[in-house]
Amino acid sequence: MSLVACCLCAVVLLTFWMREPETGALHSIRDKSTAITAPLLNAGAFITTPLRAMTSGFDSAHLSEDEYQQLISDNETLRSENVQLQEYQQENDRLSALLGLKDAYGLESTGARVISQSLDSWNRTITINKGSQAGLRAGMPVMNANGLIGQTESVGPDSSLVRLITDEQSAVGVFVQSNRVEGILTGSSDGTLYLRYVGVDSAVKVGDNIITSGAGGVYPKGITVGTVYSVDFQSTDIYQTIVVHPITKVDTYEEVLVVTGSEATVNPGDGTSGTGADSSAATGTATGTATAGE
Amino acid sequence: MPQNSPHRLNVIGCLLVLVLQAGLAPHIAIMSVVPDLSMCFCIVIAMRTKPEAACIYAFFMGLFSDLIATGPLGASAIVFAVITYIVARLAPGMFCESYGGRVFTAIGAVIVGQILFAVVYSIIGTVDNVYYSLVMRVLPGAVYNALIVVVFSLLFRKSHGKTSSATSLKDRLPKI
Repeated sequence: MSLVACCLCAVVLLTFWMREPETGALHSIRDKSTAITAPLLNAGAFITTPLRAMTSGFDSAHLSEDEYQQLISDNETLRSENVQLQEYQQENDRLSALLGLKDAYGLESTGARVISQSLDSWNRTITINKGSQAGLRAGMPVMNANGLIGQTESVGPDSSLVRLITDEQSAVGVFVQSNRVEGILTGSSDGTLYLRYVGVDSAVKVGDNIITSGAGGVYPKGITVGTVYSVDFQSTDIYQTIVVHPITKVDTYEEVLVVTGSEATVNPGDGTSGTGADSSAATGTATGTATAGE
Repeated sequence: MPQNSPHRLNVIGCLLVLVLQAGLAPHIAIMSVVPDLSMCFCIVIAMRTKPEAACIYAFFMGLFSDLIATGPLGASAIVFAVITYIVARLAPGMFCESYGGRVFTAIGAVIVGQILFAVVYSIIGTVDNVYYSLVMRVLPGAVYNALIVVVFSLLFRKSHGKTSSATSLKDRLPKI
């Protein structure tokens, strides 16, 4: 009898949870409980710091001599490219000023620290130590130094839950930098990123950079997401199977940037803005193809 | 000692495990697999509690676990309730008369629990590909949680001794 009663209660709760909006009563209770558990997560992060440092050491201990030399070589190449890019940046600033254009990538952001990785095995999320008191809202893009990592899903006063782009409920409107082919980047259960809805007639190469298209209005245009890792399709396929290697890894505890606004495109959703290609659990699963215009 | 002392111990244990689940479990994840301390604890409790009581413990543990996690509210509650009820029913049976049998049953329950999670999440649409979920989440989760449930079984064995509040199968059989 108790089993039947418990199952009925759970099914009723599940139904209400699935049907109510993000601002509903059950979601509000969840947000409050997230706020309550944030200090526990902070304490847990503090206590497990030595353990994580040890794990991190083990992770990097397997680096071979070849990989080490490759990293040194990459570093030198990147340094020289960086100098060149700085020159281009200055030139771009001068020309833009002449033309009176606004900086399309002038993002306003707030720094936050990751206090926890996923709270369960079924969702790829992180918890950060900034919330509504720092001006964060649900639906804001989250980046780190290299590129996009996700978007805020629920926001408490002092902490926020960020759903990563590698989660299978995430979808980001992107394009291939070299040829501007558009697609939707989705996560998967194993954390692999797939670039979907790219036709077999589009020339996508391994190593191409993938950047956000700005479609859907959640993620600003032009943020680096990853590089094409593999491209595969059969003659009978409509779309290519494109695996994207994320440019940034969120397995380590680090600082992130929450994009709170930009001069161009950032438009944080309030849980109902999933009309375009950018979405997550907060804004609904994306369907169809990206429709962003350049 | 009052008769409801085991229940008091169980409630204290539940609260402690919830705190650990909220504060510690995300930090001891291995390859994105977060241990489900709450489910493991419910299974261990179910070995020593009557089915109805175990079910209610598990329901509330699941509910609080859902509140502190990121999944839909009610998913853990239903999985925990079903699993613990089955384990509590099996507890007085032939598998659970010995300590080894109890551990074996607990590990089996963890695996079934992870599969139930995959089923519930695929029904509500959180999981797209059930096959990948079985390989990437259910299997690693079952292994990690099986280790946790063994540790809990050891701890409970020490704290509760070898006595069980559940009625054994031998006692339930009609006397001829």
